[in-house]
Amino acid sequence: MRDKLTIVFGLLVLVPVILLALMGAKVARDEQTMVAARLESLREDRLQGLAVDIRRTIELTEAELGATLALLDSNDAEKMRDLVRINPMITQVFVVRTDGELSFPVKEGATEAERAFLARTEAIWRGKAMLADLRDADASDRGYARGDSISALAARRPRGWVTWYWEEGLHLLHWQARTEGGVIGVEVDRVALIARVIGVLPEIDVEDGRLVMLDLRAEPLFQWGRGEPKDGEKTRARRALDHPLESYSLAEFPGAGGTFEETTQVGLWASLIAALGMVFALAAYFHRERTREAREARQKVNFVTQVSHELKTPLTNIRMYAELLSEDLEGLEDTATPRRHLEVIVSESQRLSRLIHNILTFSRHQSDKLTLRPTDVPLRPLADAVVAQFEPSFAAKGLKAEVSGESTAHVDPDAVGQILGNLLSNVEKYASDGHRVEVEIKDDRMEVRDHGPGVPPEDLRRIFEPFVRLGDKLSDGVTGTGIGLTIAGELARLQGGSLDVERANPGLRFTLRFPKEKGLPS
Amino acid sequence: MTAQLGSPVVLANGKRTAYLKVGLTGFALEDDKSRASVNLAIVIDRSSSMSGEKFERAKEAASLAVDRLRDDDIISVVTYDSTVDVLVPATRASEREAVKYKIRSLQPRGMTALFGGVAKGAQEVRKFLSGNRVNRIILLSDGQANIGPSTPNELGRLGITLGKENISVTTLGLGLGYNEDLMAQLALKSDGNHAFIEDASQLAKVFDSELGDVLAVVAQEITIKVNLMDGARPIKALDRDAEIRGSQAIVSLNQLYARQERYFLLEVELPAGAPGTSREIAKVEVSYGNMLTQKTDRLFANVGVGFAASLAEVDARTNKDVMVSAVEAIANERSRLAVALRDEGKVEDAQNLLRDNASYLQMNSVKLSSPKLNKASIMNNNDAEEVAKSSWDLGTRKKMRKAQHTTETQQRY
Repeated sequence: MRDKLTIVFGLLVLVPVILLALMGAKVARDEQTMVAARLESLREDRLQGLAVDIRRTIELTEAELGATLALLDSNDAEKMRDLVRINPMITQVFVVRTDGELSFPVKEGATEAERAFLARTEAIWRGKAMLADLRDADASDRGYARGDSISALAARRPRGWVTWYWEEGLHLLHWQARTEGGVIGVEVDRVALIARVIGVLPEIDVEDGRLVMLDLRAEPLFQWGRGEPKDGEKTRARRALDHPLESYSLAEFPGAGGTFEETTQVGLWASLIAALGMVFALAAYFHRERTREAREARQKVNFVTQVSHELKTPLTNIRMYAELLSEDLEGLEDTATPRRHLEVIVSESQRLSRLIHNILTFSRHQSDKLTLRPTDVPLRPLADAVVAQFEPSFAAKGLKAEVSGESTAHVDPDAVGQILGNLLSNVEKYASDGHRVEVEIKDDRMEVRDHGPGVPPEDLRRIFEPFVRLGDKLSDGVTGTGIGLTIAGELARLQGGSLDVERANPGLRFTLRFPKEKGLPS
Repeated sequence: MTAQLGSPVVLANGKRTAYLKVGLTGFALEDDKSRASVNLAIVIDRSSSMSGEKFERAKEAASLAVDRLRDDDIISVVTYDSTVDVLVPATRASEREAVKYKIRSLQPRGMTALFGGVAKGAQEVRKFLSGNRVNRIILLSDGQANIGPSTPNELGRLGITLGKENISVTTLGLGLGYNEDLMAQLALKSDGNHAFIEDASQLAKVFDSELGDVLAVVAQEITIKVNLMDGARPIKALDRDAEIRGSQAIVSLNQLYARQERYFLLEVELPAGAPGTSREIAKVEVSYGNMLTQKTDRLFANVGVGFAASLAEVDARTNKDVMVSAVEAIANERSRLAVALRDEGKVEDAQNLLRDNASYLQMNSVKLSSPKLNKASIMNNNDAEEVAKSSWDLGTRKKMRKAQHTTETQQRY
């Protein structure tokens, strides 16, 4: 009974917990996917925003260079050299004629810096400035084809960048068309441009992770953000910069700190654990309530048992003295009336004694304290003794009991007596209309058959259940505890036998079977 | 300004070479109030290698520097490890208590994004960039640069860029771990000072000297133009980058400190002349921003040469001051070459070169009766011993770099 309860409670807790965990895991997965997607787009937006900042810086630089170049006389070499001297972005000014030839700087009379410039840009000017060697993957998108010269480009566009890799890294030329044809341009110092771009980038902006501006070889140029990425950690988002710095990129590393996903995970697990706690608390509450009820019920039973014990002692005395009195009456004259009265006292006290015995047996059985002591018992004298007890009350109701047969069984005599007593008590209560009851002792069983009204077939099994009393009609005006048959069945089972019932039409036949192998003398 | 030839009289008949020295001396400042206001960015390396005494001293020195500023000066503080933190954005020095508090609260950590740190420092200086202010970044580092552009060439180019914006970077190398080439290049190309601070306890003193310089800038954006005439032509500038083209040589200096002498040496080829005659061979023009008057001033000078028939007469007329500077510059170039040889593992070549250098300096110190050259000779001999040692790149290389830088830029400390 209590084990079952524990299992039920266990299930009550486990099932919702498992469901919760399953649902939680699913929610977590969904949430994670959603958050990841949202973060992904946030990250992309952030990188996009930064890329825009950088593009604006480049555009600003372009505008400044444009304004400077617009004021510059492309025939005045001194002015162009002065510009290089004072402008922090410019390392060289150059002029390309309409025919694609470089008109400034030229080798003759060139300074050392100008000669170096000519050397590193030789590929650009060779063969009328073919751009085929330039690293510019999507050249066609910008409205020019590979192999075009800068002056050919100038015919289509007012300004532009040319970038290429040589020795230490990226080289940048910015050019714009001259009104008189051809091109004037400058070489922009990569280091100065990077320093300027770094100037507009945030220092420490993001709480988690690490943002990095990377060069072509994915080496960091500048980084910010508090998280220190672990070695070999992959980028979470990456985006190339705009022209002319398309070989550089912005990237985000996850960093070592707790990430947003982990935070939501923590929240989710916390709520799951909270739900678990609630289920446990609820289960514990119900369990305690249930055990409290059981405890109270047990206390009630204990009380009844106690009272029954208390009742038993005086009752035994009453019976004993009534029986003594009955013996004393023998040999006296005109004892018919007092003898009849005495028989009533004895029979009623026997009935009360059975009742109390039954209650005690039931409560002992309930608390698993019922033990039987089987011995080899001749059944006939036992049956006769029990039937004899009922004779006065049977006589009063016009019932006649017949005992037949003989056998010996290895049983507890008190238990068999109690079973038979309960069966006969029922006959007296419910089947006195049949006027006849037969107790038949067979080899391995004892049958009690009455000729009363019987029980409908659908109720036949229920009569062994405790506190079940069938129908109003039967129990009308009849008292009883409703545990007699239950106890009889349990006692039969406890000594290794069984108690069955069948309809005998009219009446019922109860069959008490005894244990088969044990104790029967051969 | 002075413009003099090392040998104002040369032998007649035939082409001769001579050294032309254009010297500038800053005027003296009367008091602290009359100096130009300063726009200073202190960039401090806070990588974990700085932890301990070095970092405490650095913070102390930076705080002392802040104390020396006037209320109308501009100060910003940038720190860097693997990332860059603008600790104090450009602000007036009247907020010095807040600035010092922020400096005190610094903790070292992480790697070294030197380029980013200087770039951010420059960005802070740029906020108040003005020709009327002394724009300066003081970089204090004990390490290598490993985030961002990190070669001496690239840092040199950053120096050029900043120099053009009239921002000088002073680089203070702390301990034995920093990259002296990179630090020296950055300082040289932006016309800033460079110092090797072997022991953190010297930090306060060096910072003080540096600030002494910063607070004593009397001229900025100095351009020296030398136009040679009458067949004379420039050969090369000694120990310095100069733009030479045709008969013109141009050199730029970022600033001149009060009472400091800075000069520019040009090796020139003189045309042949008849004995007893003399002629004008160069016009020198110097333009600079006067920090007291906030105006651009110009100075002009003409240089002539005489032709003599006898060597004795030539020798008698030799300008010893110019010749000492020229010898010093030539020896300095050789010292640099010796470091390059030693870097390639050519220990013996480097040693021989330094020994030659020492005897060259020794010979000239006698000839020109210059104790300065004698001292340099002893140093070169000493260096010759040191380069042979396996531990040379710990201290000696940094010392040599620092000395080279000092000579080249006529640094005062």
